[in-house]
Amino acid sequence: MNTLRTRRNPFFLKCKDAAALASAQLDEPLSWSQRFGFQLHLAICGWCRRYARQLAFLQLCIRRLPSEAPENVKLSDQARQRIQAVVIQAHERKN
Amino acid sequence: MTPGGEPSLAAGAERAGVDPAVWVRDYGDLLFRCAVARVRNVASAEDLVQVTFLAALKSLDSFRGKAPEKHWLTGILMNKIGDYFRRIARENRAGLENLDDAEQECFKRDGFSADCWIHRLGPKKWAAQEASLDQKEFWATLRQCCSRLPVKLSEVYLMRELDGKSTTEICELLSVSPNHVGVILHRARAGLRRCLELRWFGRAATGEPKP
Repeated sequence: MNTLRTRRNPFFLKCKDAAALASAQLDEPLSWSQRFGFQLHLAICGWCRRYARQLAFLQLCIRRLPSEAPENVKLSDQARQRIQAVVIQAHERKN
Repeated sequence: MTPGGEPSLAAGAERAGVDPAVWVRDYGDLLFRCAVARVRNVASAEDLVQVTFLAALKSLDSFRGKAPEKHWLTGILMNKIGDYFRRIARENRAGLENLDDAEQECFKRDGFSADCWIHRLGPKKWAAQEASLDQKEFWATLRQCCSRLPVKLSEVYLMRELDGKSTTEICELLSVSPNHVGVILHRARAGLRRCLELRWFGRAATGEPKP
């Protein structure tokens, strides 16, 4: 991942790099060496294990967020009338 | 409210039983919910709904009712949201450049363990994670946390998570480098994680993990 500063040893990650990879792996597959370094780091670092778990949990939550939206999110009456008027007008003009 | 009337319907749409006069009533709220979840700004979301209906009217002839009307309209809305982001990105490139990193201060600055978690500030244990999912208050907190993120961050992040856009697609949409998108997404996640930790899990948070 190019966000990481170049280090002497790509397999010896610091927590900061591991945190970036914990996010990156949710977006696209890591390269072989990234995965290796990341897993190696997770094996010795409880903080980053926890961090990666939490990011994964967060992703799950965010994806469920719309279906948990309260039903009361609605167009305001004003907006509804305005849009209705515009749509009807455009529709009539078309025909 | 059906001044649009049956006889004036376009041929293709008529076959599919589409009546634009009832769109706002039937789909207005649905589209609005979709839009407001992604762009957050109520006024922009309203505009997007309106633009969607107008675009739908224009392409009414080509709609043959293959997909349900609802999905057809939602699809148009998603395209319009894409346009909206592209416009925002063009108008306000700077907005995506200077976003501070909430997590930066959680890592040690120098010494042998530079860039390691400062234990006091590192990720705390989240108690009863799964059980939170059933609580209304949890979702309210999460929504609040989303709205506390800088707008640019949350919009890019929601584009990624809700619309399943790949980083490559987001790069093209906003014309920024993949590298930059990665940073934006990470900052959004880090900000949300921290916010949830403070405002939800914080009550029961405990210290160091057992490796």
